[in-house]
Amino acid sequence: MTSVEQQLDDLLLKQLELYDEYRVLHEKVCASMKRGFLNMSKARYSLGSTVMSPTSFDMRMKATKKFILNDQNELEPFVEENKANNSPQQTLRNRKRSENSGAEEPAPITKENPPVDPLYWFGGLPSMSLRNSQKEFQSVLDALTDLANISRRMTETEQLYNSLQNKVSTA
Amino acid sequence: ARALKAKPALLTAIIGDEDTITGLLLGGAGNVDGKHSNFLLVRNETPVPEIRERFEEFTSKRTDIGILVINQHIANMIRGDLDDYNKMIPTILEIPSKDHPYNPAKDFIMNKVAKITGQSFD
Repeated sequence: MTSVEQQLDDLLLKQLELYDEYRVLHEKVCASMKRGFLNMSKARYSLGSTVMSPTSFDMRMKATKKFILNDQNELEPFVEENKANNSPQQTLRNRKRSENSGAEEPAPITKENPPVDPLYWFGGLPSMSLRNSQKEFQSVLDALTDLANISRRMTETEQLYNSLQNKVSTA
Repeated sequence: ARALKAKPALLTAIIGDEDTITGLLLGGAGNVDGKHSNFLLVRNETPVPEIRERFEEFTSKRTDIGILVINQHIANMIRGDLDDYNKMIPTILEIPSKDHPYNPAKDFIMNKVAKITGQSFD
């Protein structure tokens, strides 16, 4: 067997391994989404479907889940260092804690100073179901970065395979 | 995760139904800059040309999208556009919706395997 044909076989195996990796991670994502939807349904049941709907979205929203392309050409999570990350969570419970610790009191939730966290789009006291739903979808978004990296590696493998195959056919 | 760097931060664009959009926005993916949002809420009455137009916008016109997430049942409506897609950025990922389970055989990533193995997974 020539070395080019061996390389083609290796690339085929690599592609199948990558796809296997993709499927395993994708199944985890699907399971997270299922739990997220279930918790969302529970939250919607208690809040009402008119409250928990796109009409409640804050259309000044800014994404907190972002990523960058690193030097290895792979996507990785991006953390923005700003005051918002360091400021205490704007909840009623943490307002009392911050008073006791002597930290700056968080700004009250008013119309002029709306909360940034989407958890508060649907009301000032989010239920445990809504919080759990948010956690599940946050983990989905984190996993999407890894899924995207596997997909990109599969695209690269496919392109390499095609170029090698063209070499074999023209030789 | 890394701190602020010179490289621009990329967003996740979403083309999905109401539950998917609500969930992923709850997770922190949503971004609105003036009139430009990084998501399209697809309802029963949303015309397919509008879906294709937003797909084109997210994949070709905008430079701040790194990943495009799309419900598989919506992806099936623009399957031709997905099959022709060959860019690295943004990367397209198909996901299930609450009411439509995921079919791995329909995922366009299967093309990457099928083209090499020479098999059809329909």
